[in-house]
Amino acid sequence: MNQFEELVDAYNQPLYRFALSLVRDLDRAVDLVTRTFVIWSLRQGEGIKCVKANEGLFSTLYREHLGRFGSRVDNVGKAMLSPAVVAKVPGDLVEPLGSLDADLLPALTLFYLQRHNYREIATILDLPIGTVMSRIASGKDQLQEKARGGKNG
Amino acid sequence: MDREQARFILQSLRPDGTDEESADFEEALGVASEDAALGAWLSAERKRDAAIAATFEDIPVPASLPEDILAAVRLEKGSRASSEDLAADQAGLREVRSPVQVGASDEKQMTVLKVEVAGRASGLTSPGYSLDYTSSGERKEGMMKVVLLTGLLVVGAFAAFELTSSNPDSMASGREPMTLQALGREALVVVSQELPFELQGNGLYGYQDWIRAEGGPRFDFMALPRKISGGQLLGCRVSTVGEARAAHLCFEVENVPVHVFVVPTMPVKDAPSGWRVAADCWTCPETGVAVVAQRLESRIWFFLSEHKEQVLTDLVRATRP
Repeated sequence: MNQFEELVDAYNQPLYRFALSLVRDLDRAVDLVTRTFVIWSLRQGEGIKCVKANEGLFSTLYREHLGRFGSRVDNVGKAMLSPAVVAKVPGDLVEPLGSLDADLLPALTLFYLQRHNYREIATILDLPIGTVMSRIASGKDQLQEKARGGKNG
Repeated sequence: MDREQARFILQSLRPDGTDEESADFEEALGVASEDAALGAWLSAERKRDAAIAATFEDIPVPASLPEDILAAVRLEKGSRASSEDLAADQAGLREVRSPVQVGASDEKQMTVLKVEVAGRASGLTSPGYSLDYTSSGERKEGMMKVVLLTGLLVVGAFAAFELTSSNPDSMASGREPMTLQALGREALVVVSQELPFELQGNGLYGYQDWIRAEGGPRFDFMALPRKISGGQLLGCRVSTVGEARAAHLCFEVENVPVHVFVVPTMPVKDAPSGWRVAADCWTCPETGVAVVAQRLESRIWFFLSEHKEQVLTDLVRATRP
């Protein structure tokens, strides 16, 4: 196994989970992760090497997501889910975050993947540290409100 | 810090405990330990967070994903190579390969390096060999002559290139010798990938058989700089550097990881000839990681760390008591 194969082996799963949470579609998630590694390999070929993979790959994926699917957000700030997408997402596995405001979703997903601290999440999402902390806190509050709402009715 | 401020900060504390040692959370955790209500909230919060985090771990990943990725990368690189070849052909710029490069796989090569070092050896010189350290700003300037010969040659004193013969892989590939810095950059890439260590624990000598079994080089652990080997051993893996299998050990020294790569020796471009030690140190401008490199008689050593370049150099100097 060469270096690049080891990289794919180590990161394909967490990147896929991050991608799935962002795009809510299995095929798009696979496409996004694949594209991320292609971009990464091309950068390495161009001599841009000294970037930490644990941040760089997630950052690349997120930027690629914004570039390709970022506009697919409806005007009330929720991630759009087509009926086909909803049917494909297995059970409630990523649904806990599915109802979150779109701007809170990336930070909270990265937080729950537990591979990065909030400073690294800020680097990946290119946001100020305080904004990331605020989004994690708001996202959690929103989840709890929705959970309480669900229980009440 | 009041309760609300502490609560806000602690909401960014990962539930797996990774952040507990971080100074970022020290004060807030201190408040929670003295405030019973906040402590109870934190305990419940972490349980809730852990449950949600576990759902992410349970998300199934398509088994074919790694192969799909590698296929896509091969396809992309292939199409790029084709279009670049085409462009080069059209421009009449295609490089004419030398017979040595074309037929290198079956022929012996000897690399003779002649280096006139303008820089000054530092205090790291020991009897029996000279050791030239150059800092980032003091790059060696010299004249280098690389002669590639094929077939049988009388090797003479420079059979020194045991260096060449001891690394059949690089010979067979016909690859041009790399500089220490280029090899060091490969080690930097390995470190930046933050791949997990396959072997973890404190039994340093138990690692030798494992490294050999994984195709890594044999080396004497006693040769490790004592200030580095005296740190906590975090783990070990076998990586690829300069197309050779390299042992990659990681120690925590003064609370900072120090990565050690041991690579089978190979011809090194711009290095002093013969048995003289080649050495260099620099700091990667992108990551701030300091690199110290040494080509000794039969191995090349790389030390990488976020310690300051001088601190790392001092740690490496403590090789021999």
